[in-house]
Amino acid sequence: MTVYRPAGEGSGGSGWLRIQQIWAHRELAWRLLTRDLASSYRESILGYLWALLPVLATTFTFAWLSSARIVTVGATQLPYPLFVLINMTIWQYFATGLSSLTTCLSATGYMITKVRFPREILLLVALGQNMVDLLIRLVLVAVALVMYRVVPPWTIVLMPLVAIPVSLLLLGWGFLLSIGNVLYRDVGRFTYLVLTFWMFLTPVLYPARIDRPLLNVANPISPFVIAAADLAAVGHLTQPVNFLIGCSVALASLIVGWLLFGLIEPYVIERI
Amino acid sequence: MSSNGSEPRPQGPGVVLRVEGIAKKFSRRMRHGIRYATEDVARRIARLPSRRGVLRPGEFWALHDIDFEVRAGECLGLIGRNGAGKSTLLKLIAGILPPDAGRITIRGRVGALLEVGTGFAPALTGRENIYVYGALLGMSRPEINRQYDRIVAFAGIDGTALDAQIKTYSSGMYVRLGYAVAIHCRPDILVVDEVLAVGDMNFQAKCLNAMFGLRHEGTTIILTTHSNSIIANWADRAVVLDRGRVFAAGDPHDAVRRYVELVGEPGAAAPTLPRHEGAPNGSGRVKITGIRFQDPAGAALDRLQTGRPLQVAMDLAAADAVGDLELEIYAYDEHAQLVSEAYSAQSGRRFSIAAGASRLIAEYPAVPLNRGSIQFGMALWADGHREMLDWRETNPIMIIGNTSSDAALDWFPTYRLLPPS
Repeated sequence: MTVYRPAGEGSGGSGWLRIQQIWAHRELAWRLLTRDLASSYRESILGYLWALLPVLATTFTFAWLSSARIVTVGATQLPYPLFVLINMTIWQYFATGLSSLTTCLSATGYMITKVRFPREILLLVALGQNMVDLLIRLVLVAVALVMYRVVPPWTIVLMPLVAIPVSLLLLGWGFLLSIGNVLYRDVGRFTYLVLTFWMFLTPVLYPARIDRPLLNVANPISPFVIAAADLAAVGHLTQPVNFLIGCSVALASLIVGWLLFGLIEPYVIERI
Repeated sequence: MSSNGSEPRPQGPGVVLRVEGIAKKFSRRMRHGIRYATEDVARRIARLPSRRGVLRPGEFWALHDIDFEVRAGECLGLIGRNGAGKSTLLKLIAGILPPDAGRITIRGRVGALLEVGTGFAPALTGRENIYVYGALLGMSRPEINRQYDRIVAFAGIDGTALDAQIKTYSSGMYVRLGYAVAIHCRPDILVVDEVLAVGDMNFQAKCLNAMFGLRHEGTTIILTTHSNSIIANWADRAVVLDRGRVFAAGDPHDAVRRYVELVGEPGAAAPTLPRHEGAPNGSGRVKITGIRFQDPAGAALDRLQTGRPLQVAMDLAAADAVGDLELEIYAYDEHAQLVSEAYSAQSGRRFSIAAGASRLIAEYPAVPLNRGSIQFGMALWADGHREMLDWRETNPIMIIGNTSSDAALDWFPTYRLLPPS
């Protein structure tokens, strides 16, 4: 028996129940994910290569700027292009993830108002699509390592795991930004704008500076980019405390974001 | 919002849907809506009493004090004018929107067919979209596999087309595919909103038969439609909604009659045009900006009388001069039966209008119906019937019988174009 009551009344909406609901809709999530993947790649010539092009373009540009000594970055453990490529892998996962999570509810409003399912599914689908892109980029990293004949420390196999706390962070912020973007499209545009500058405040194109500790922890994505670079090149985490702080921030973001999402979502759906 | 029967309520035998004291309000303006939503969320977090039950400035009741119940295997029809709250009520039953007051108790799985083909991806093949749409309607993969052949047979789409991207489909194929999946998802309660308005007549009949065939297997059906004949012929009971409240409920024939009376009320039947609002209705080079029912002296009519002349006057607005303009005007009765369809070109009339406003009048010499109500639709065509300029339908207008008339009853109008005044 199902009972629908005004939002906030009764026992409905408890966290455990919602997790059960999401789990019950896993097949739908999978269908939507494969639908979106197939649609986006079937309607383009380059298909899956689009996951690589932004990363490659940035890498080539900065590799050239650096080799021509137009910009100078400090010494890097790995050859500079490889260093940028690895950092960009994590950064792009965050940046494209945040953009697509922010717009995922507003882009699928046509379904939200016609079909009942936990709306969290839509964020998970957007995240899943982003994960597929990440996997493609990891293949590129592997190819680049072979090309440069670099033997990385064994810890490089742990590098993809950095995507886990990044995913938590993405979901946590995505819960709030996606709702914001339903109400005001400015949110999506603003996110896009901020991300452009944000990359330069994150040690993606240059090595992390120990003498600027604030940038390494106040920027919530920095610890993960640094950790990925460490795992791929150094063999251990150079800033383990910052990494733990980053993970805690990510987890807290997820919990707060999801709780607020559950509170706000019923009121926002009717305004789509 | 859904819970597993924390407070079981006494339910009559076989009741699968109970709607108790349901209310839903909306804001007219986005700005208010966001402010109120913020307030509601803040009150919830601060655990202050909710203000969802009262109207704040700019809010209105889309539904208020709605009570009814539906038993297993019944078909309930919802009727009402546009904006009466039918679709909102279906969304509440489907669990898409939460109510602002009251409760809805449901036994079994609800399948909501609020739009045919929601979530179809144009780049995917028909076959793939069956699985996507099926999943959206709550079917599991094995369930879809089991029904797959029947779905394809029902849609009448052959193998080659099934493997083609559905952006290559005609709109008819698209709708048939969507409907075929929906019909086979076998919910306990099927909620259908206006979707019978699509597809050709044969397919509509097939859908109706299939849908009501489900009832023999115990499926409960709740539907809205503008076709009073579907309600009268198929529903066990009907609820008439008017401005968010239950206006009448019970026997479908009585309900349809009450509805016709309701829309036939003086003032209520102002023939303005809510149907198809917002959707593009033709190229718009000429627009129908107003429609008025009047007598030959030009006095407005709020109801029609048998055997008396009727003029349907259309105000037109043209951006530029248009020649070779044709009027198609049709009328259907309260059972959605077409009673008249006429093209001005049949009477040899094509018009040329100047830029600006003009008025086109179709005059029926004698209304040939004794009772009931009719709705008019009119379409403007140009370029030898190749370009539709605009298309409108009126609200129903009531007909009252008039015993003495020796005028020839006729459904073919004559036409008159009044130049810009």
